[in-house]
Amino acid sequence: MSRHLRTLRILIAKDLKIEMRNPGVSYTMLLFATLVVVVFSYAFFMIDDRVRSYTPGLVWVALLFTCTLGTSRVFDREQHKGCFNGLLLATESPRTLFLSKAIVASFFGLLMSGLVVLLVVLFFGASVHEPLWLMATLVLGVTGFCFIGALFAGLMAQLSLREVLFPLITFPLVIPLVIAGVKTTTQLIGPGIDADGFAWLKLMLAFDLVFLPGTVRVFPYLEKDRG
Amino acid sequence: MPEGIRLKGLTQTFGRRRILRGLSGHFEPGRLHLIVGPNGCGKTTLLRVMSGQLSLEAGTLQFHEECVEAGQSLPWSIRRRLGVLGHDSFLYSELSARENLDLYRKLYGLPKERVGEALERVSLGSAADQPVGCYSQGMEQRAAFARVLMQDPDYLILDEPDAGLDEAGRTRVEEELSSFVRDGKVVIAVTHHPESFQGLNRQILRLEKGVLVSVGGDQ
Amino acid sequence: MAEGENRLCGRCEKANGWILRVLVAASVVLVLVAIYAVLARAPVEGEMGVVQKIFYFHVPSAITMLLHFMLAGVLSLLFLITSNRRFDNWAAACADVGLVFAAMVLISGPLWGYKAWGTAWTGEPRLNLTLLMFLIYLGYDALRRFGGRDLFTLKIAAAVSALSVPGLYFIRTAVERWGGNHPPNMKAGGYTDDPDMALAFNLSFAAVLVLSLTFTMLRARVRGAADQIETLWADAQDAGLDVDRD
Repeated sequence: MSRHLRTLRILIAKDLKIEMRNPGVSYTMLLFATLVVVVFSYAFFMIDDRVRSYTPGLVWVALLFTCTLGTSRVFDREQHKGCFNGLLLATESPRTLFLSKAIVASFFGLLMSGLVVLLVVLFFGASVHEPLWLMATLVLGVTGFCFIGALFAGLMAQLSLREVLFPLITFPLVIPLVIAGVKTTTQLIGPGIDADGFAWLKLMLAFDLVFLPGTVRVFPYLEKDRG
Repeated sequence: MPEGIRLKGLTQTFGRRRILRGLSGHFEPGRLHLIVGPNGCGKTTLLRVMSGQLSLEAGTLQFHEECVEAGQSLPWSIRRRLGVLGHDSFLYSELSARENLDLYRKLYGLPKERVGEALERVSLGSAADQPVGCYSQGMEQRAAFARVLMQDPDYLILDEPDAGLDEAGRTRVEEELSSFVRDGKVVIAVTHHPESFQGLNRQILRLEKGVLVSVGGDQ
Repeated sequence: MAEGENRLCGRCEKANGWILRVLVAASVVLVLVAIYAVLARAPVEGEMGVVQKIFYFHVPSAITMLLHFMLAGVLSLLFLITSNRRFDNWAAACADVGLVFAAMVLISGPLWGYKAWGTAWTGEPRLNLTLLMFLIYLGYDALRRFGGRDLFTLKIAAAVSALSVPGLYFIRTAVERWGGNHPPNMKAGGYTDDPDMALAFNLSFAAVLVLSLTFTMLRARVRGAADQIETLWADAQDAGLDVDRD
C-alpha cells in the first residue's frame, strides 16, 4: 500500500513540476473559466435580483465546462512522445497512474472553482453566506466531474473525435452532481443551508463515494485493451 | 535465465487485416535477435505486443517462467525487467534528461547513482540538465537510451535503435547492445541494417506473412 | 478476435432459432390482441378522451426502455470483465432497442401532455430521467459509430453503459427531488379499477415487452453476423483469396 502511495506521490509531483514550467493546464482553465463568467455577465446584461438567483447555476455550468477542459488537457500532455505508455510500463498498477491524473485535475478544478465563485461575486454582486459549506459542495462536485472526466479523457486521448464525444458521454453522467450542486449552492449564496440542502449534499457525497472508487477500479479493464 | 522469451501462436488483427498469424518464436538470452522485414509487415506491432503496449488477442507470451495469456496484461514482475526503446522516447519535453531519468529511477525503485552513470555512458554532458524539448533528435535518442541503460532490464526490446544516428552514434549503440548481450540478457531489435551489428552473437529473423522465419545469423 | 469466440455452438444456434420463431409468433399475436383491447374494448376515459389511450403504449414503453438499459449496463460490465464479444453484442442490441423505446417515450409523453394538460414538456421527473438516459445511450451509440471499430472503443462504450447503471439511481433521485413540486402524474401498473382498462394495459404491456425482446434478439443476431463476416474476411485474406470487399 505504501508503495502505491509513494508512486502516487512521485507521479503527482511530476505533473505539478511540469505544470510549473509549462502551465498548459492551469492557464487554459483560468482563461476559460474567466471567459465563461464574463460571457454570462454579458448574456444577462441586466443584473437584477432575478438574474442573481441564477448565479448558482452559472457557477456550476462554468465549472462543468472548465473541468471538462482541464481533464482533457491533463492527458494531452502525456500524448507527446508516448509518455503515457512509458508510465504505464513503469508503474506497478495502472490504477495509481489514473488516480494521480484524476487528483491533479481535481486540484486544478478546485482552484478554478474558487476563481469562478470570486468572479461571480464580482460580476453579479452575489454574496456568499456559508463559505465552508460552499467549499465542501465545490469539493464534492469538482472531484466528481474530474474523476469521471479523467476516466474518459484518459481512454479517449487518442481518438480522433475526442472533443465531441468526450462531453457527449460525460455530461449526462455527471448531471446528478450539477443538479445537487446547484440546489445546495442556491442556499449558500442565498439565505443559508437548511435541512433540504443537507439532503442534496448527501446525494453528492453518495455519488462521489460510488464513482470515485468506481472509476479507479474500472480503469485497468479498459486500459489493457488500448490500441 | 535459461528460457528467454517464447512466443506461441501469436495472432493480432488490425482492423480487417490479420497482421500476425499464429506467430511463434524463441528469443534466447545472450543473443542479439534482429527482426527485419519490409515496412508495414507488422514488426512494430510485434514489438508492441511483446512489450505489453498492445493487448494480446490470441496465443501466449512466455518470459522465462512467467506466462501471459491472451487478453491479460503484462504483470509488473515482467514489466519492471522490460526495457523498451521505440520510436517514442517516453521523455517529457519540459523536464531535463536528468529529471526524466530520475522520475523513472524512482518509479522502478533504483538507486540514485544509476542516473549519473547512465548519463555518463551516453555522453550527454551538460545538455543533461537542459529540457528535453531543446534536444536534437540524436540527443533525444541518446537520452532515451540512457533511460534504458539506467533501468538495466533483463529483456530489451528496441524498435530501430540505429535510425537517424550518425556513424559515431551507431557504434555507440552497438557497443552498448554488445554489453547487454554479453551479460546474458535477451535483446530484440527491429532494424533495417542487420549487417551493422557484426561481431555480436546475432540471430536474424524475417517477419513474413505474419510469421517469423530465421534467415541467418552467427553460429 | 480469437477463433470461434463469437460463433454460437450448433446446439445454441438451433435453440436460438427456435426461440426467435416463438417470439415472433407471440409478438404478432399479442400486438394484434392488444390493439383490439386498447381500441375496442377499453373505454374512453371521461376526462382526457381518446388521447388517454396513449397511456397504454407510453407506460409499457418506458418500462421496457428501462429494462433494456439496465440489461445493457449489466451485459457491458460482463463484457468489460470477460472481454467476450458476445456480451458486447447483446449489450449493444439492448441499447439499440432501449434507444428506440426511449424515443417513443419522449415523443408520446409530450404528445399526451400537450393534449391532456396543455403543455408538451411538463418537467415531470420521469421525463427528465428518460431524457438523460436517452442522451447517455445516444453517446454510447455515437461512440461506437464514430470512434472506430477496435475492441478498445467498444470497451469505452461499455464503460459508459456500465457506469450508467449506478448513475441511473442517482439521476432518478436527483430529478425526482428536483421536480418534486409537480404532482406525480404517471404511475406504472395501471391505477384503475376498470377491468377492461386493466386488461388492455396488461395486454399492451405484454405485447410491447415481447416485441422488444424480439427486436433485441434480431438485433443481436445481426450484429453477431456482422462480426462473423469480419472474421471470415480476415480468414479469407489469410488463405490468400482475393476477396472483393465493398
